Amino acid sequence: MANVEEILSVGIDIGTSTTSLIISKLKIKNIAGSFNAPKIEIIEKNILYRSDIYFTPLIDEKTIDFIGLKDIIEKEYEKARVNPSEIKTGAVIITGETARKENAENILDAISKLAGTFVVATAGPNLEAYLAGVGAGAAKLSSEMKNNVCNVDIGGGTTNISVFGEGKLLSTFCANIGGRLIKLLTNCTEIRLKNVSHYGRIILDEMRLVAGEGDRVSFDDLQEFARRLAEALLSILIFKPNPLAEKLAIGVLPKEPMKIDVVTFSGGVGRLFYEDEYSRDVLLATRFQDVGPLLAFELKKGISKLPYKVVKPSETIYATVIGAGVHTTELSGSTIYISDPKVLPLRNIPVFRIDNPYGSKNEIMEEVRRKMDTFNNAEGQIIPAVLIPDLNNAKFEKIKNLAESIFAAYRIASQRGPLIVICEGDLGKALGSVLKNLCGSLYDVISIDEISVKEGDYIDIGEPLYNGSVVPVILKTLVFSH
Amino acid sequence: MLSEKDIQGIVESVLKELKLMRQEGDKKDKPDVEKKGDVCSAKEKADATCGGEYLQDLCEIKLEEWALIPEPADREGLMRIKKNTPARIGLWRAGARYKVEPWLRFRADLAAAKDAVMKDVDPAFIEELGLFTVQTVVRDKDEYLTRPDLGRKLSEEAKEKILKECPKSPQVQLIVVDGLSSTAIEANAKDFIPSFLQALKSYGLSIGKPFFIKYGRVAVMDEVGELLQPEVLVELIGERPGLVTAKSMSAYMCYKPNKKTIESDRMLVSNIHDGGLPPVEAGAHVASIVKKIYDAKASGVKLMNL
Repeated sequence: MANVEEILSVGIDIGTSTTSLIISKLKIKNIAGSFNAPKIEIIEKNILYRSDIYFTPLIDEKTIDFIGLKDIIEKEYEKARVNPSEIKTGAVIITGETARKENAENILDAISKLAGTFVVATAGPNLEAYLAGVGAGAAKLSSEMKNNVCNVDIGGGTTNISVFGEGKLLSTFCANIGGRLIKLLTNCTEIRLKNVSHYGRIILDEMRLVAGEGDRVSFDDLQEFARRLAEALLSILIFKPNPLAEKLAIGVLPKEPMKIDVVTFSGGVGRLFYEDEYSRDVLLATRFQDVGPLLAFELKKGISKLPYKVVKPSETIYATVIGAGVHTTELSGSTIYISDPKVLPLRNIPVFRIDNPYGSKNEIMEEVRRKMDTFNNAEGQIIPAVLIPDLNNAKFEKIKNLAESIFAAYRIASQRGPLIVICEGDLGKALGSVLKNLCGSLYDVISIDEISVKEGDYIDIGEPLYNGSVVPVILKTLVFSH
Repeated sequence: MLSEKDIQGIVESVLKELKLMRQEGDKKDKPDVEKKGDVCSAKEKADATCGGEYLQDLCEIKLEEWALIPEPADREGLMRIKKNTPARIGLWRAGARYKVEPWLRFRADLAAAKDAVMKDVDPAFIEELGLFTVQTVVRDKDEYLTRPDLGRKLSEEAKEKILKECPKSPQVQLIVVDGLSSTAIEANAKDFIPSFLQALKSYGLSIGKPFFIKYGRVAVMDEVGELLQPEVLVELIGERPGLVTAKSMSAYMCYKPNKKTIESDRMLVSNIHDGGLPPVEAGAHVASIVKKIYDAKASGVKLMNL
């Protein structure tokens, strides 16, 4: 059965200034020897198609233009010669300033549904930072060089920073720093402010510039604006955020220095950082009607302040979309239990963990009940997933007790099914079949193992692949406490 | 030669002596031991008896974490390599030889492997599993090891007993065979079997009466197949032990095994032990393969080619 199965995956990034899409092919294969239990893994990821980069269509400053987006996606699918029904996995991510638009959530949901059978909707600056880091190639770079690599993804509205050590994510942090905090209207004779975002205003205030929308600004003012932004960003990267950086922070910026060997820049401004030849030509510097090129230039001027080696990553402007399209899909362990594949896919499943798996049956039951209850509100029950810690080769009796406790908790709480368990250790199939025997026709059972999730995460579980041996799982939350 | 009974006698008397010694030791160090309650480790017990002098159990060291190269240029790099394999690398040397500890560990692992082959599965263990025992035509361990052909034939007595005890033509028949590692059976069967049984149940398959075969080889299943005519036969057997583990068990599966069965008809899940595929998960996994075999009415290469 060592055949290779190919699936198509899409990534769609709807950012503050730009929207792009990529289609990739994932090859999955059983890499275990024929006498061993299967071990099905993604063995190859190839990008088949990259879309053009579009400006994110907006109706006005508060609303995303759904029809415009839909047209872009349909047009690009046609150019890539794929049909949404062929797309088996992937993710849409809505990022930066765009995620704050009033209709962002609905748009995200609608786009994910029209993009393919199991395309997941994601958002959040920390997740974006992670995806940009893996998409740019910073994670791989750090594992190849056995050191710490910091990727700085600078987009239109936000900068999302991720630090990887030997391929593993160590930290993410974000700030409202981007090339499009102010939008311009330029022609040969003058520069006017077309639009000023909330964070753009903070910087203008600091510059004591009272100019509002429609007012003229000088090229020197724009350079000063970009210089301040660059300075704030650099101060974040050396873990000494300056007062402006603090005002632009999303969440908390780390102040404890971390070990960083290499820094890479990605995102639209990241690309300009490596590729743009600066000129004092006003028209060239403002060709995107924003301060992106100027920000890239100011960063380049100040980069010597960073005590790190600066490297160009393998991807820049496509980093986030590649992260979303190529690197979001994980495969579960290969010995899992799905009582009925028809209940899949399942979306937005919150995960809670049994903290005391060695407790008595009653204690475990109470813990499951209590935690399950926190997900239920006036709107009704949400289907959660129970995370079982690694029990280190538990005996069968232990697993049976555990199954009985979980089942009892579900019964007593009249919890809505299916019953989903995620095992940290390799016991998905065993626990799943014990549960199914207990549940009979009351609940469908989905028991998967060997994926790394933690309490508070949300996951999506796709339809089984590879003859029903594995399911794709997409992890959607990534919250770090510093 | 000492008989097994003699050896048991000696072991018991030594244990008795140890117990006496420990009691004395306990008296001396009582406050210390009491503080820690009854969960004191083997090391602490040894400390208590011998006044802090004890020998480390070398078998408890994880081979994947054991590096003895003095002052390696890149310790982290070495440990990363070590993590990938239990092979004996990075253990340094004394002149052209092993150092003492790795050498002792090698001897200990070899001894465990020999024990696994030479010892019989404890009859009390088989009873605990609820199995009855039959034997092949092999008379003793020496014959078992030198005559693989005989390990595939059931004795007349065995055949009679099997026919008497077991229902014929079950959907699934389970047999447990000592093979080349009694240790493997004792380490894994107890967790494998209940997990396997309940998983079969979840697939709606029924099972005949399982039993144990002493001095058996893999192909003994063909004779069992002829006798009981099960749809699918599952055979748990101890694998030839190595120096990494002596506890590895295999599960062979075959659709209607009989005297015409050839090796490519059999299927196998190997490497069942705590460090490989855990026995509990293996039970459920093997049951799912059995379900496939049962539905397809074929196993081995025939099943793969369907």
